[in-house]
Formats: sequence, structure tokens, C-alpha cells
Amino acid sequence: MTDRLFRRHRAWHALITDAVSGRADEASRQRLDAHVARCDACRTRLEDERRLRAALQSLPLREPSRSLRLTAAMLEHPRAAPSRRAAPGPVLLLAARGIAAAAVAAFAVVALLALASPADDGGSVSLASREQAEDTVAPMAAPSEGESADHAAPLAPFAATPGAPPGLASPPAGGGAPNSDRSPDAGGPSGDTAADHGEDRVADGSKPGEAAENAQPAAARSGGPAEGSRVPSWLLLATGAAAAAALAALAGLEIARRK
Amino acid sequence: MPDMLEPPDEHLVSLSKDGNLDAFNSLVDRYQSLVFTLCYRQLGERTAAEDAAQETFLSAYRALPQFQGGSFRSWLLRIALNHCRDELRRRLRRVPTRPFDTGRPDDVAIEPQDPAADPAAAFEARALGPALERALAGLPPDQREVILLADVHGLQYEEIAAATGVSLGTVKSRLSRGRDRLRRILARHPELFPRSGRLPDGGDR
Repeated sequence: MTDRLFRRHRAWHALITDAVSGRADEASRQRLDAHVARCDACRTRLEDERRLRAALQSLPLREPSRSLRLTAAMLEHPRAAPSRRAAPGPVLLLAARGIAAAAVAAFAVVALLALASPADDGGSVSLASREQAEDTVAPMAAPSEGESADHAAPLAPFAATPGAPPGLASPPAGGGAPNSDRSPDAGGPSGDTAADHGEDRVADGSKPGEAAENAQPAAARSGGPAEGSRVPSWLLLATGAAAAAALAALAGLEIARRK
Repeated sequence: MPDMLEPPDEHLVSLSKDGNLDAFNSLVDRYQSLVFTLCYRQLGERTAAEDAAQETFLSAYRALPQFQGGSFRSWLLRIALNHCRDELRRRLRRVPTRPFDTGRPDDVAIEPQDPAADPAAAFEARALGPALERALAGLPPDQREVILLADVHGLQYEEIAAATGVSLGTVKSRLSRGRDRLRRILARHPELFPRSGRLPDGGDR
């Protein structure tokens, strides 16, 4: 019922649209007049559309902020604006995407390798240091004094503060009570300096590192990965920088394309 | 400026076809507000509209040899609409910067109009102008361009069909649906529809 009514009115709606646009012929207009005399809905619609059209017709024109007159220069540089907009072509964009993808992939591979290899190195180093630790666990107390004194001397030339390692190492020999709280500190700096200066020797597995390793295995371990990844680290940085640069270039290109 | 007697379009067009840039610029002076206004309402943004209008005149000048006669005005509007459509398509490819088809009127930056243009006819539209502009901005672009050409600029169905590249039937149905939609959007404006806040037959959907 409402459907049929609606469809019948749809026919009138088309006629109303035409009549408001001034496109209904005389006969149609008379039919419409007769209809709207009886049909409130269509009369409302007709009046609304007329008002709407009148309001739309009276909308003012707007002025551009500059004159749009053509100049000879505009005509001499044909398609300057459109071609600039289309400048980053699809080939260039594809190439940039490819390069960026390759750079990121290279970085990912290097980063994975760098992550994997220090793990191995670290493992071996920590194993080595653990062995060294086990070697020296038994003769912990007494020989360590002698050894540290022995090794303090070879270390001294390498250290920036030659006096420090012997100075710190000697108090345990001298005896216990006042220095018991200092001994961790003593182990710390000497271990650090040993790790710093003795890195190569730790890798060589030579004896002078032992004291430092015993005192501070953690320091040695932290030195281990740095040494293990020394060669990949610049590679890691380089590929990272390349990937970042490629991504930045691609972003710039995309932005330029969308402008 | 050849003379001050407002020569007809045809004359200026034929002069322009011979390469007379001054003659063509007289046509630019005559139609730049119209072209800019159409672009502005289609694009909703002043800078983009000025660019589109400038490109319209540039490509119109270049395409003059292909102009077969008829209404220069509607030929120009057709070129303008093509540029607007290109721009809208370009925007679709980008990240959407401006929600264009939302019915929310506040999203669309239409400046308040200056109430001076045509005092007699604009009396009613003065209060209504901004609301009408927002309502227009809320239409889908294909309905909006037909409404603009038919009701705002008074083009005939055939000219609209030529300008938009669709059939007469499509022009009529877009016009009908566009007006319907505008009435619904503006239903609460007593200045325009004084009798009722509700539309007896327009409330479907």
C-alpha cells in the first residue's frame, strides 16, 4: 500500500524536479497543478524545491584572491605545474621502494648475524672465564695474593695509573679487618682495568688475565661480546644508516608525490 | 582590453583562437569568479580551487582550436569540472585530509559569505547562505556538481549532460536526489521551509 503510493509519487517527483527546473511542458504542468491541489505531500515538495532553487540561485559568486589572467610566461612553460606534480614517476618510486626494501633487509640480516654471533662468542668467553674461574677457585686465598702482586707489575705499564693496582691489591695481603669492605671495590677497578687493558690477552688465553677474570668475571663477560662483535658493529651501523637513509628518501619521495 | 562595449563571447573567442591573449584574458576576467566559485564549492578549499581555476583557463586556452562553438560558458565549466574531478581523484589516492562526504556541516571550511552581492534576491539567502554552503558541501560530488550547474548556475539539462559526461536521465535523477538530500539536511531551517520542521514525504531513508 505505502509502496504503491510511494512509487506513484516517485513519478510525480520526477515531474516536480522538471517543473522546478523549468523543463516541464504545458500539459505536464497542468497535470501537476491538478495533482498538488489534492496531494499535500507533493505540494509541500514542490514548494520546498522552488524555495531551495531560489535560495541556491541567489548564492553569491566568490572572488579568487588573485587574477587568473594568463601570462605569456604561463604559456611558454607548458604543463609546468602538472608535470612537476607527476615528476616522481612510478619507475622512480618502484626503484626507491626496492632500494629501501633491500637496505632494510640487509640491515635485518646483519643485525640477526650480529645478534647470533656475540651469543656464541659470549658463550665461549664466559665458558673460558668459567674455566679460569674454576682453575682459581681452589687456590683462592693464598696464591691470589702472590699472583695479583705478580700480575700487577706487568699490568702496571699498561695502566694509566700504575700505582693503583698494586696499591689496591696489597691490602688483602696486609690483612683483613679494615679492608674487608674495601675488597669488592678493590676487585672492581682492578678487574675493570684488567678487562680494559687485558682484553687481547684474555682472548689469547694468556695467564695475566687470570686475576682480573677471577675477581670480576662479569666485567670480562661484558668485554667479551664487545670484542666478538667488533667487526660486525661498524657493518651493523653502516647497514642501519643505509636502511634509515633509504627509508627517509622513500618517505620524501612519497610526500613529494602526494603534494 | 580591446574595447569597453562588452563584446560577446563569440567575438572574443575567435580573437583568442587567432592567438590574441588580451582577448582571452577578457574572457578570463568575465568568467574567473564563476569558474573559481564552482571549483571552490566542488573542492571546498580556496587554494586548490584557485589552482584548479587557473588550470582551467590555461587548458581552455590551449584547447581553443577544438572549441566547436556553442556556449563558451558551459564549455569552460565543463573543463573546470574535469579539473575538479582530477583533483578529487588525486585526493582519494592520498591519505584523506578532509572528510568530504560526511553530513557533518562543521567539518567543511566554508567561509562566512559577505552579504552584499544581490540585495533583493539575497535577502532570504543571507541568513541561509552559510547553511546552504555547508549543505552543498555535504552532498556527494556527483550530485553536487549537477546541483551547482543546474540550480546555482542555471545550466540546462543538455549542457549539464555534456559537461558531466552522463546521460540526461542520470542528470535528472542526480538533480532530484541532490535536491532531496539538501531538503533533508536543511529541514530544520525555518527561513527556507517555514511551515514544518518535518518533511511529509522527504523523510524516507
